[in-house]
Amino acid sequence: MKRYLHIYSCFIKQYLKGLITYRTDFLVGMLAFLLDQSLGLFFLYVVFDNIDALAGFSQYEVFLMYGIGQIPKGIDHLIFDNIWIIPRNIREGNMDRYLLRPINPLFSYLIERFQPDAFGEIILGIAISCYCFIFGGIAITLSKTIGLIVLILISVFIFTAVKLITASVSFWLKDSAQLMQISYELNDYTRYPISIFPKPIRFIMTFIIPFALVAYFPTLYLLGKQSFSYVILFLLPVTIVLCLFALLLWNRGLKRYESAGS
Amino acid sequence: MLKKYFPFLRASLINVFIYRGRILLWILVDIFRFVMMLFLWISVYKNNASVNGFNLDEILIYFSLVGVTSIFTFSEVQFDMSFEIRRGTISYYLVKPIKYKTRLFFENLGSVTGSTIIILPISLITMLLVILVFDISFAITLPQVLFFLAYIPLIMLFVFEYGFFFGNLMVYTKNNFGLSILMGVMMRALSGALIPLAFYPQFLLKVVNFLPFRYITHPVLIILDKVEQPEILIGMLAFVGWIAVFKLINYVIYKISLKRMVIFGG
Amino acid sequence: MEIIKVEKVTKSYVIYEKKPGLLGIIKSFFKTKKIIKNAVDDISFSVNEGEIIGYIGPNGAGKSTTIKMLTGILTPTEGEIFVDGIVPYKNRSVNAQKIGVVFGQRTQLWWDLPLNESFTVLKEIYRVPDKEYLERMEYFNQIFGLNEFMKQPVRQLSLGQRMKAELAASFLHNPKIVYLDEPTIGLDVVAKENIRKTIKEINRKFKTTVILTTHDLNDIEELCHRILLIDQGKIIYDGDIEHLKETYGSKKIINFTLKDANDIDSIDIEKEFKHLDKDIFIEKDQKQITVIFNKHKLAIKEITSFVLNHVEVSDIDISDDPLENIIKEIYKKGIV
Repeated sequence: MKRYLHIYSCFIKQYLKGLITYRTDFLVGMLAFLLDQSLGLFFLYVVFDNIDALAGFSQYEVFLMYGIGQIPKGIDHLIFDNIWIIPRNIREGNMDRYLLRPINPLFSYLIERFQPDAFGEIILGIAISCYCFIFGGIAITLSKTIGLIVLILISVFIFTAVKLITASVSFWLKDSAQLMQISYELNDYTRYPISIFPKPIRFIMTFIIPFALVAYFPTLYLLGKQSFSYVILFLLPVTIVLCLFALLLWNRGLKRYESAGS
Repeated sequence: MLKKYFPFLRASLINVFIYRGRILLWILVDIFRFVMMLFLWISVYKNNASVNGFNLDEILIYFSLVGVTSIFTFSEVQFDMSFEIRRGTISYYLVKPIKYKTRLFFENLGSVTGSTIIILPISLITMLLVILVFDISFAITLPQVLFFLAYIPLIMLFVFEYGFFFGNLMVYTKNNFGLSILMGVMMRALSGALIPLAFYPQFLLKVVNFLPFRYITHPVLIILDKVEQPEILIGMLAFVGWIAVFKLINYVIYKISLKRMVIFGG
Repeated sequence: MEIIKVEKVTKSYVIYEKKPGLLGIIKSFFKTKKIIKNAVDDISFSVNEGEIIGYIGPNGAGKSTTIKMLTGILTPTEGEIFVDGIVPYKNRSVNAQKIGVVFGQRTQLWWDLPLNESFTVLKEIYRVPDKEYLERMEYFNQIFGLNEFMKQPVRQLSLGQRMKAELAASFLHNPKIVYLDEPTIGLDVVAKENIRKTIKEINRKFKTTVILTTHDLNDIEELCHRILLIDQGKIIYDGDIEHLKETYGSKKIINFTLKDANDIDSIDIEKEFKHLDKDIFIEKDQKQITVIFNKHKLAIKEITSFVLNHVEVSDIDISDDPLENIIKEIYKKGIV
């Protein structure tokens, strides 16, 4: 384990160095992501400019959902960004070099990249959330803050697991980059109160591609509409199962890669 | 004289069909996105009969039709350009007796044609389903349809020029990813594809109405009877004017970019 | 001591047939035909520790497939492979620690990082002790001059610099076996010499087994103790180069340059050596007479003394049939 951390720190140092040297690139990248995210926010803003409540939630409450959903997404983006190159590597047969090293190939991928652009997302999420707390009159206590942090940290792995699952599909389907893109996008829709969707879709969003657990449920907790234990009762097992499934699929896929070649 | 460009059109058309898994997925995605939006808007209209001059029926038709016109806003010109510039393969094209931009245009045309063949029937079926399920009474006149169709080539031209413009910019920057996101965001936010422009707050409307992107959703508004003469004709002329402006800008910028490329040796 | 053992290994693939043309593409949208192809067909060979083996064959013959199976990133459809006592595709991680790889076209280094950082990371990955690391890096610097471009990001290095770095990286952890796939491709003559010298030295010093895949037959001649020839998935030759040349390289080529072009027709070699029939071949061109003959059937002395006795010669050039031609012949005729 210490080895991995040491290697990882090498990469982080390099990326941070690169950040400073290629400042403009970094800022442009961060700005672009921010803009992209802001579009969703802008949409909500325009909608609420014309109506009072969405499925019983006020503007601040929906914005809070949005903001809270950003944070784990950003953290995952920061650390596990390299999963995105997996479909291309499989397609081009470039995965070999990861398999030729005496370290776990998945870890090899993960530690290779650190994406400072994602700081923008995290900051945006925190900013929006704080805005909603201050101006929206939403009560926030110390215990709620700690609870929220716990929920957020667990939620990070939902993004990672979904990315890994959809990336692993490339072992069978040749190039699942699109599939990855779409499932990632699915997240954008789950930042609305999911009560607007019919039951079957709500089920998928809560248990199968459980992005609803990332924003909606934690917000319910913050608003006092659900207890912490209720939320974590869903979040923790679903995340664990999802992660296990992701790892299983990844390993199966690797075996297939080894028998089929590139 | 234009015949020499047809192979490019054919090639990119065929390319669209080669990846069958991709296409299937694409269709599923579009349907999925549409269905999600459907639920959202139903919820919005739960307690309001009309929002900003649109009732639920109209909003549904609006987004269905935007789905149709969005096929023609498909353009990867900027990516093709930056890719070729990066790899240096652009030199292959520059030494051939063909115009670089025209060739890109025909390739784009091929992709759009290919996508249309696949997506158009599905978009129309979706719209029909929406009309049936929600029991929407919907009347259109022939002039409306004609204007709608007339807008399509204009939209394609505009989007192509827009993409070409960004493709040129990508010669100068390293972070093409950022630029392409910027490009997409601008288009979605300012065209009305995200949400009908009528919903925007006053201070934004002033800016939006001046810019050319709004014309991308103009044909949809025409069908919905939200635009009348002489607005329709003035709109078309303004759009053509903008296309001309972009063409001019692109002409100048392209000349400059070309010089830069040659100096830096690809 | 045997370090690699390949036993009756076959690797088959399924490929899908695609029809040409626009109509064909749309048709294959709905239905495609499966074809099974054997990339490697029932091959067997073994390698002893410390050997340098040249693995040659035309493109698509099955070379890279074999290498991938040896390195553990591909599993054979049939047969078994043992590398230093373990099965590489079953114990990939353990095997990886013992091997070094250079894939000519693809890099093992990190593109955006400065070269020294790549080495630091590799040190960590392969668990190279500090003292050894410093010794090795110093050694590589001596032979390759790595320090000159250590601080540059890998993507900025020239091909020659990068190949040196790749080689150094592959030997860094003193692996038992090193697989080199086209290590000298695209390099200038001096760089190639350098690299060959290094491989020889490391092999001598550390008894590193080297499996070399290359199209450059000079590499083979200079480095390899033994060569394996593969064609269409089958091994058609397994032995040392001398034996190959001896057995299949029976041709000798002598080029005479005459002093006076007019003399060219005054000598009739064919008539003199008619008894050799097909074992001799004569070509005349202006001032040049080229004689290609089977050295087992005719001594050099006989030809040269005959020619020199009949005409005035200004230059003689004697050479062996190049390895290239020998191999080409083998591909064509197969092993007798």
